[in-house]
Amino acid sequence: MRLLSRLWLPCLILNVVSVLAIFKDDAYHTDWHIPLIGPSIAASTFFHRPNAESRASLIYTLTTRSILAAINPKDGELVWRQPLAESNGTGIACGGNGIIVSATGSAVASFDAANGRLFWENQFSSKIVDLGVTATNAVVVLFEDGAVRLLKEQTGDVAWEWNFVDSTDVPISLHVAESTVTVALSHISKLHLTTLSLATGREVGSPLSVAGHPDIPSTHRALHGDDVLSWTERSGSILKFMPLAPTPAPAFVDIPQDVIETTVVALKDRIAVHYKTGANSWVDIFTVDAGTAVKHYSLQPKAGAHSAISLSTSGDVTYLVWTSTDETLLYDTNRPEILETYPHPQGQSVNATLAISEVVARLDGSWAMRSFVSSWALGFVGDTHLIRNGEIAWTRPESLSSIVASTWVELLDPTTEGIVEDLNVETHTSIGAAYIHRVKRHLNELAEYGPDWVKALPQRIYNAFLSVENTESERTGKWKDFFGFRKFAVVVTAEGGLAAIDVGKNGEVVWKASLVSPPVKFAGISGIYEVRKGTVAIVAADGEYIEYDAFEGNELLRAELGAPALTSALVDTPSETKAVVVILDNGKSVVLPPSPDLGPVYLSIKESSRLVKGLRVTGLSHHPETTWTFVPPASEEITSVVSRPVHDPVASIGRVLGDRSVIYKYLNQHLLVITTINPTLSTASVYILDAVSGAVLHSATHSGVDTSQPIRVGVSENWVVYSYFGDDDVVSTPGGAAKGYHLVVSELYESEFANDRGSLGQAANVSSLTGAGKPYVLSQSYIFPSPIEAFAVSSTKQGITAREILILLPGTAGIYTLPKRIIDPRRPVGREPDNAEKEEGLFRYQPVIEIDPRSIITHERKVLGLKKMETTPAELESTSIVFAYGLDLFGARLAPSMTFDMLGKGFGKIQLVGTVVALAIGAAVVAPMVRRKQINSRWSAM
Amino acid sequence: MRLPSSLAALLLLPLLAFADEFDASPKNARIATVSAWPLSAATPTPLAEVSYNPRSSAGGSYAPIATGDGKVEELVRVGVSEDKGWSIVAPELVGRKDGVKVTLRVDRAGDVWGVEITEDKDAVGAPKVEVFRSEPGAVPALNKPIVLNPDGKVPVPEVEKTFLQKYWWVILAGMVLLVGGGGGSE
Repeated sequence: MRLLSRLWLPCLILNVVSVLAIFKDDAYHTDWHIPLIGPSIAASTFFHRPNAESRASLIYTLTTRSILAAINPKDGELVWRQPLAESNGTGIACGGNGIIVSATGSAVASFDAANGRLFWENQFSSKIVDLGVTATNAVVVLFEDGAVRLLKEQTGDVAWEWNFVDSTDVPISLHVAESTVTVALSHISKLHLTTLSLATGREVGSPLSVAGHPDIPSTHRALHGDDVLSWTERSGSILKFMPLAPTPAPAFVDIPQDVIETTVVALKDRIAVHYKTGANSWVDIFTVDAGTAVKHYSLQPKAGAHSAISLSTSGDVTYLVWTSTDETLLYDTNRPEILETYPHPQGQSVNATLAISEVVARLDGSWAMRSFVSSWALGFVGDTHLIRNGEIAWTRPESLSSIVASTWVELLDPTTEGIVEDLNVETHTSIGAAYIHRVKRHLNELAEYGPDWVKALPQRIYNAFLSVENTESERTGKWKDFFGFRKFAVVVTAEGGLAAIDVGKNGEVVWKASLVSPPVKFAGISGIYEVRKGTVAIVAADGEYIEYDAFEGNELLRAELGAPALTSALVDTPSETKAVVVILDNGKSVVLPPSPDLGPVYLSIKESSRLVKGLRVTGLSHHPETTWTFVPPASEEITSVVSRPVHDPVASIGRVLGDRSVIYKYLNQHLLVITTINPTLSTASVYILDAVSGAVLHSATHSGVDTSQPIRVGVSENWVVYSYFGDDDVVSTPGGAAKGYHLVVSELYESEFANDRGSLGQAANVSSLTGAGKPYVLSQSYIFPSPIEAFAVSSTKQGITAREILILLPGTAGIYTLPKRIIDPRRPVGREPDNAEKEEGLFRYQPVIEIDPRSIITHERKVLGLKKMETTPAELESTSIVFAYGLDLFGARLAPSMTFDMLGKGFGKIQLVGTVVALAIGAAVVAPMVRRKQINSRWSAM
Repeated sequence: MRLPSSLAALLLLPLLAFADEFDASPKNARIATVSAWPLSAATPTPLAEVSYNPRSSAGGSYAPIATGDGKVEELVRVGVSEDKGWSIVAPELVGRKDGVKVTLRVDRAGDVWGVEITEDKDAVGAPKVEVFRSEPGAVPALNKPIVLNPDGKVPVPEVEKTFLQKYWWVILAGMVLLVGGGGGSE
């Protein structure tokens, strides 16, 4: 017996463990991740061999989102990526022998080109202007203050430093040669070229001077190596460039007025200049002969606003690849004739903004050509493609790295969509008539669909047994699947693009549209809402209201509101439809669609860091009234204003305690949480307000807070969670708080006592305007082992399923789900729970929350740069759908209380039926035997 | 030099404690003028003078300032001054004497930064005055640090022997005496 119990115990523990996780076979199937890097920077994108032995090269790129990445040209997969210090979309990356060196802001880092491992990193006090890698992998850096430093190849430490004294000099660029480095500096109306020895850092020879007055910053793009120096003069009307030679002689071209972009590309002894106007583009080819550039020929202009050129050398020929919208042209730079034209496939035009290419001549006289191209489309900037001999081999949706807002769109239910009218008839007639109507409808349906259904039955049973995915769940387009796992997230990019992402189908982009037309820049977004079934409404910050068909991506309506929008909200109208309320900059408000029956709606708006305002809007008046104002105590600054999610159903209004008494939750739809910081006193305060009356329901002040770190807040039901960084040695807080990230949970109850509603008494309705007492607040604080980027709360259809808090961890690049019951402020502190508390599911308080790796819903993936998580209920009560964006895209399903309403894939259907059949057969065989035996035994007893 | 300063501190300590107590006494009560500002009105009008003690939540008093009949039909904002926070209440609560509570939000310096008027059935005759301050936030209940003994080991607490463990021999001797002691002669 004891042996048996010993065997059982580990089994039981294993069982508990498996209950904590999702079904193992669901991991990586029901969740998806699209790793993105952002739009590439032209000068820092190149083909490069990861090491000297390697035959194939990889694409290396530094992006405007400060991510350095290596892309496999074969399939477009990321070989590795590294997030670097943010630097406003600028940065430099260079390839060395087996290394990639990057500079963003004032930091230089060197990475292993093959696997992205960091070799070294060095931070300086001045910003970096230019960077070069020597033959021995040492790094030469030119700084904004004019200093030139050589960093050692092994450690990144400074080997030597050269400082020029004149403060009127402006550093331009750096040119690394075999044993020297040339620094170009602009000095009043001259360009100084100083050559330094790489070994010693001393000047070699005397500095050269060239007459020139470069534009700073330069108005053209220089995509050339170290052999050429190029600049523009007179606000971009003259382009000058010269090969670096002992006697420099700049060549120059006049840039026509209508040219909006010039690019200089140089390779070996060829210089190509690319001109772009709004309507067409052309290329001039220069050859370098004995240190001077001579114009070789011009290529005929091509129509179209978008094209990009790149040079590639193979053998002793330098090729020019010119990528335009619908074809790629290959030239030999010796001749102006086209070698080969590669038309892009029909319907796959690429508006190239930058291109890098590799061209190889085949033995049969043809060429193998591949180009890595970054494209531009209205609202979607920076998608990258690989064009291999005219075919688009792959595309990376980098434009989706700049999503700023998203809303969920419910798909249509094919079983009810066709009979909506019939159902409406049934709800609007008397019970008897409705019953007759329904019976008739069912009979009709039986006649119509019955035979087909019976015919399909064997196939369905067969599929179900073989665990083939239910055919119904494979519905596509606007039809939802049986369990409602598919939903569209309609997203808006920072550039004004609108896209629908199918979250149930691995993040597939269903359609794309643009909110802006060319000359206008997107002003930003105030809000995006699902206003009706299949319709999304976008309120642009510049005061435009746009409606789109969420399934097809067609624009339905566009209206000017007359002034920039300050804030907007989706509200329910009395006629059971939804309306968008927009508060405008000119003190007016608009309700769309116009709903005169809309009663007073209360909104709140953060005006400044010292003021949050409450506004009252009605459907009839166009002037919102300021109802309340929140001005925090002196020297406090408001950092965030958070309210409860719109869909936040509460299944139970109370909490049953172990002794069968109930404490009632303080449930207020208008809960508003405001956090403030006081940098002088190092305190942070949290205020819980009623958003209708502006009354402060609760407030707490934490001391010893590092106010330079953000405070994150999550609100749902009757509770608030927030995090801050507590420190023990912050200014003016002697003692301070325990050092670390604190996670505080506060739950609001109507009264301190069980079976008591406090001042609410027996009231069925309570008005915020007469105020009925303050809630009783229970709080508990924990130490959390990671910084927190954002909170979200799982959302299910009825709110019966336990809630889980989603926590975005920026450090480990993952999403952690923390069951709400773990951070229950009723957990007993300093003692074991008594029996009643155990019955409630409470366990002893532990000050530190350990991150359980099994609750990381991103599993082993690194999700970089996520900013926001959105949750929405599925059709099944157990399941909540998650979509996270910011840089990467991530989607998953959550089942906080396990999928109690669905069978797992491993459920043994055959086993079950087999058992039933075996039992039936057994019973059929044994029953006569038993009967005979009974009769026999009675006879024998006689 | 060190001695006088510590002496001074010693002398000051009771004084400081006294000051604290003095602060909490009704004498140190402060007065705030609560104003009412109907939504359509251009400016607020003073409603009442409320005395309060920033250090205790109760014990304030309410003295109405008579301005007309004060009856309004619309929502009313209440607050102390235009540059501080205002909250709104139903018009029937403003200027009422019974069943009303006035809550003053008081900051660290003891100044009022917001006013709320709510229903309170217990208040009879005059509005109840309450002071609302920000509570100190919850902090993690950390375990006590373990103090090592000079050997660098966790000290093992000495378990005190129970009465039985200590005096078993006395009881035993008593038992022996009881059992072994001869009975009285019969």
